[in-house]
Amino acid sequence: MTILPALMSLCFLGAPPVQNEDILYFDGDAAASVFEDEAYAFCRSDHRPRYVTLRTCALASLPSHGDCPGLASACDELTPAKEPDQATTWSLGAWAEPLRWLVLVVLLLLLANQLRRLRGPPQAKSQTESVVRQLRRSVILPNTPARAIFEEAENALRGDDPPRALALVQQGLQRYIQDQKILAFDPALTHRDYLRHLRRRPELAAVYRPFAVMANRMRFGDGAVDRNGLVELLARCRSLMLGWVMLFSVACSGEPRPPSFDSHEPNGLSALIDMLRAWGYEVELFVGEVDPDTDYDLLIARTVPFVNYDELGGSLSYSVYERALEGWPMVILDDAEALVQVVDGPSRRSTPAAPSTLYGLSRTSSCGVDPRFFLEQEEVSLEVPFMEELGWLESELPRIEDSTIEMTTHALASRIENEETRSIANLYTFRFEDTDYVVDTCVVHFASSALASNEALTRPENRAFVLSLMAGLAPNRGRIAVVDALGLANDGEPNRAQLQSSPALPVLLQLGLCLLLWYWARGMSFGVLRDPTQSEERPFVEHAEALGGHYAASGSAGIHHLVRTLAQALGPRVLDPRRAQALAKELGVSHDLMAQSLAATREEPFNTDPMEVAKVLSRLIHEGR
Amino acid sequence: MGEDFSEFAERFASVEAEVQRVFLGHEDVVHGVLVAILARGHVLLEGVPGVGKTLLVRALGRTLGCSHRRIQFTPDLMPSDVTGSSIYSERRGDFEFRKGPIFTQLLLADEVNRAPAKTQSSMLEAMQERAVTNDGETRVLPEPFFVLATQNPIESAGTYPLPEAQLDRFLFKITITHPSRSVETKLLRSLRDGLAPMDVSRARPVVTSVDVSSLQDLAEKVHVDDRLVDYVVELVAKTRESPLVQVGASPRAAIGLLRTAQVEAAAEGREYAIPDDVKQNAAWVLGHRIILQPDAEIEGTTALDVVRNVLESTPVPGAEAAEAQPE
Repeated sequence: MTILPALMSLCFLGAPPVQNEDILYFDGDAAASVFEDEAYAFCRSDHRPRYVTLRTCALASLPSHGDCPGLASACDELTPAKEPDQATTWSLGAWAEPLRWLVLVVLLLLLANQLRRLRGPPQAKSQTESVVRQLRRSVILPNTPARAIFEEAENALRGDDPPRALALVQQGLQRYIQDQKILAFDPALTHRDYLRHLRRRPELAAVYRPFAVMANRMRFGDGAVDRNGLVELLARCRSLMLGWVMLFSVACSGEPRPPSFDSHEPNGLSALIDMLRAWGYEVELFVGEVDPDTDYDLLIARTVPFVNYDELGGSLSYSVYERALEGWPMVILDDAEALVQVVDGPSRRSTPAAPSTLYGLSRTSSCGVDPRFFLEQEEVSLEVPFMEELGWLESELPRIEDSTIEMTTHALASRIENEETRSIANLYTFRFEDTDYVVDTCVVHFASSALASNEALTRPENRAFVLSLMAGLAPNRGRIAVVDALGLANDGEPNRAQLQSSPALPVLLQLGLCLLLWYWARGMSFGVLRDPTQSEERPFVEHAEALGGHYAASGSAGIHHLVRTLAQALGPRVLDPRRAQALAKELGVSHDLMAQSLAATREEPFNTDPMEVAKVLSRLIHEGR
Repeated sequence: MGEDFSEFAERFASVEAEVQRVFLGHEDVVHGVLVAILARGHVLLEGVPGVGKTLLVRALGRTLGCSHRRIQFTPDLMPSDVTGSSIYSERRGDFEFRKGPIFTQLLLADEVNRAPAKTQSSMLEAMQERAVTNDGETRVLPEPFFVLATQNPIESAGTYPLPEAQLDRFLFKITITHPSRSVETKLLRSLRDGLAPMDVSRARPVVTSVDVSSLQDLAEKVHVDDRLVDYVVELVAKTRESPLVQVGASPRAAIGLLRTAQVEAAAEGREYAIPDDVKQNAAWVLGHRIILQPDAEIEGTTALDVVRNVLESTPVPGAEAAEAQPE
């Protein structure tokens, strides 16, 4: 903020007062009235605007900032937290120095401890300590998360204890499988049982399979543990854990949508169009391509200028470049490297060049800006994220202040030999069929679209400068084409802008990817197709019949045994007298006969004909199942 | 340890593949029968008529390069019809032993439960001792020797259940079910196209009987860890301790479990057996050796249920490593 006003003052100093009656003076009231519209709620709402930033607050803190009270009040809420009052700040006083050393020592001790742990456990001082440590290490609580167990396994591996590391890997994997609700831990399950249950989780099976081979070899084979294999296995286990974390972390890292001409938020660009319209211009908004059959006095494009002809489709639209080739004046809103860059080429308009300077440019070559629109103001507080990018320009300031050297952007570029300037020199050069073409027009290139953002235009000084510049390039209140080559205009669909600006795209993409993977996994057949397992359980009646058949074949002793067995099996089923009576009635057997038959089975020795009893019981079993 | 079992695995896989060219579907059955043969065991195949039991045996005999014979067991079949008998030779003036069909390498005992117990028992010595004793003289059967018997589970009339002693001599009892629709469709389409899918002559000998013997010897060199031995003992003991079981599995069953585990390991090219090798064939080894309590049978429990319960309640060695220990 210290350099820029000086720079801006330098730019506009010396601009002669304009006395012409036809001059179109900048109408600050008309422009300011734009912010009274309901759409610019952030200027009037007491609530904090959604995109309030330090830059916004820097604007709001300026004394002339009176058109946007909501912004100012929102920033007031931030101010105490950002810059606490010096008087109320608690001071450590004399304790500060000892405390600083204490913190330093504690940090060093922690660091040393960490280094010591990385190098492995220290030698036990005594056998007792060793045993205690061993016991403590061997305890893995039932609810220990899989991740912690894998960490312990890595420690065991570092401690040169591969068998324990392998056992911990088994614990970790089986804990993870249990946590995923795939299979509860069961000591009777073998590794192959686990793999069978993991058929639908190939990513997990891919980790479990090598572990199973390694564990079986160690326990039942030659006892050897492949240390490198174990290291790799642990890495895969960790990646298994990290897989989900990365998925969600990536999902939450969506980039906010860049500002667009249809946004009324503080970082939007709609105020520029509204103000131009309020000032009497006919403004048309295009997305991607400008109407090729209509003449416009000015093109305002939000795009990326660093292009060559082959990349037109992805950056600046072809028609915009066509206009540039034809010599149309244009304003590019872009996040470029330097402040405002002006490519000073001959304009198609016949307006003579004004003796003025714009941003360090010579008065004799000021891009054809109509001199009536250069304001006589000494300070323009155009807010930009400038300091980092302006390092190279800062070194040139004395020469600019000297104003004895005529400077154009081209001249500046040719005189300052560094990467930034070379890129500026090539800024509007593009290659087509092995030939370099230079845009032959006046291009005012804004270093940041924030220069024309809604929040920047809430400052009267800023909007006076920006709108005057536009008007200077198109003085006849003609037609202005605004081209959004990077985004989409609001097509009226509700919530579309919110959807576009939401960070949900990575989530949706990953969900789609997961869906594809799921279909892929579901569609695969795992292993050999086999017949479905048939139930081994037979109905009770079939067993009774089979037994009956066996006993019948073995003679009268078998019949007795059969009858007793049947009665034993039937007993609980006819204990209820009502049920027994109903059953007897249904079978056409007297209840007494049934009771006698059951009683007969308890006779010792048998007095009743066992075959008769067996017949009754078999009927009962058939019906009573 | 130190043996290379990759060649074993290759040969095993090639025999499997060759048999399956003729015997479509039921890959697990083919695998199981082959494991039993290489574990020096006999197999009882149970299945409804027409599922290809005989075809499987013939295809195996051809693929393994072994001599094979078939005995159709009937109610009037005599023991001497199986083992052979001494016949008076007028020319020599002495009794001369004429070998029965059991003197072969692969014997197909078709519908073995149709013969009376006396005839069935004639195979007991042959199956266990691999020898036949007649008139006080013991004659050794050719090596390798294995019996593949079949029985029909649904027909009970005119059949004689196999005695427990003989059942115990079968390493596996495998139930063959109907083939799946896809297999049956493939079979019929092959028939329609004149490919003769069930033609046993299509199966080529992949190994010789000498190879089979050497593979049997090699399988016995697979390392079995002590913990695995304990696991086998634990499984078998639990079948005896179950309240549902009248008679549990025999020590011969334990030996069978161990042997088949060795063959399974070798078939995968491993020089050591793992618990999966034991579990894989446990149902086939133990199922027919368990005699249930009558009330358990009446309640619908089967021997396979008992085996399943035993497997599900016995911790496998190595699982203790994953058990969280209480603080």
